[in-house]
Amino acid sequence: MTDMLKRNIENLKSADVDAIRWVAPIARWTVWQKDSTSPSLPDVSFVESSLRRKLSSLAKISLHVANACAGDISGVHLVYASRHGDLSRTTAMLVDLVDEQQLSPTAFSMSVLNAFAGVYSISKNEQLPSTSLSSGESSFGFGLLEACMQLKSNPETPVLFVYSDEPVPPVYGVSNEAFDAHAIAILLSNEPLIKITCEMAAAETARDLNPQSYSFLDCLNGKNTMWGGEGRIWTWSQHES
Amino acid sequence: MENLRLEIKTLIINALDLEDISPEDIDNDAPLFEAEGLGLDSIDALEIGVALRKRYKLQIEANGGGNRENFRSINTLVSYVQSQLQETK
Repeated sequence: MTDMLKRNIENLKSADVDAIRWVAPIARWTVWQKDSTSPSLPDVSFVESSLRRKLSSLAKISLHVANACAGDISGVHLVYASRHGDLSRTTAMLVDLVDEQQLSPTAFSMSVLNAFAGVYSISKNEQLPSTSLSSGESSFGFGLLEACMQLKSNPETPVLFVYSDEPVPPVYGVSNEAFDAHAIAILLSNEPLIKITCEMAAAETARDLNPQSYSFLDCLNGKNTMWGGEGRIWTWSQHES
Repeated sequence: MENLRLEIKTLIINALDLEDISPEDIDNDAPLFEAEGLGLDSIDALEIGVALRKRYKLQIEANGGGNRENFRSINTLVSYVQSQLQETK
């Protein structure tokens, strides 16, 4: 280890970092939310039928918003985040294991968190660098942070950030999460339509009942919002580009 | 034979969620894994393998030498399943 690296690590350890702030430059976004008026699942006809039949509902809503938001732009970096991932599919496989049934190879191959990125890349016929992450209840915020940092590192390359989540299957007995299936795609670029200032601060805080992604959606719609949980408070405020 | 053919076609349709396809649409001799047939892929092959094992309690080796030929079309699958069922009798 070089002296400089050692010093940097020491500095980091001793730094009293209790808040960070950054700006998300947003060119456009697409949202899909399950509600009584929307069809049960959105259109993903850009995925060829042989692949489409293997997609779960979570994959479909993610692919739909990603494709709609990307439009005809190509060569993006892709960042995908989800709080629970394809938990319905994983749960079905766990049930099969308990029943000593063989696992479905399709379900297995499509249940991993980066399956969305793979299917998107195949369907758009583009080789795209992609990152898939999950970070508890703050998965939306950390996914967006990762996406913003990727844009910062490569300002010329737009970053397509996609977040999606579905309710936890009843078998887990989770009663303190109330939300419907939803997917959000956000195109970050150095030619933004709006900018959202994001701040994350360490704080003793009660956990918000709404998912973090909902709080950010409210900010996209023009409100200054705040979300607390996991020992942090996240604030989002929109300003003109 | 005809019954088994229909049974295997239905099994494939169900295992692979081939929503728009009915058993009559599947040509008995068309190659399952090529574009002029059903255009299935390698994961589909594994999926069919799992379904056949479940339904007929077959022992199919993952890297068995004859798999490629046995899985070529509906007709080859039917004779393969038949021969396996004969053996276990």
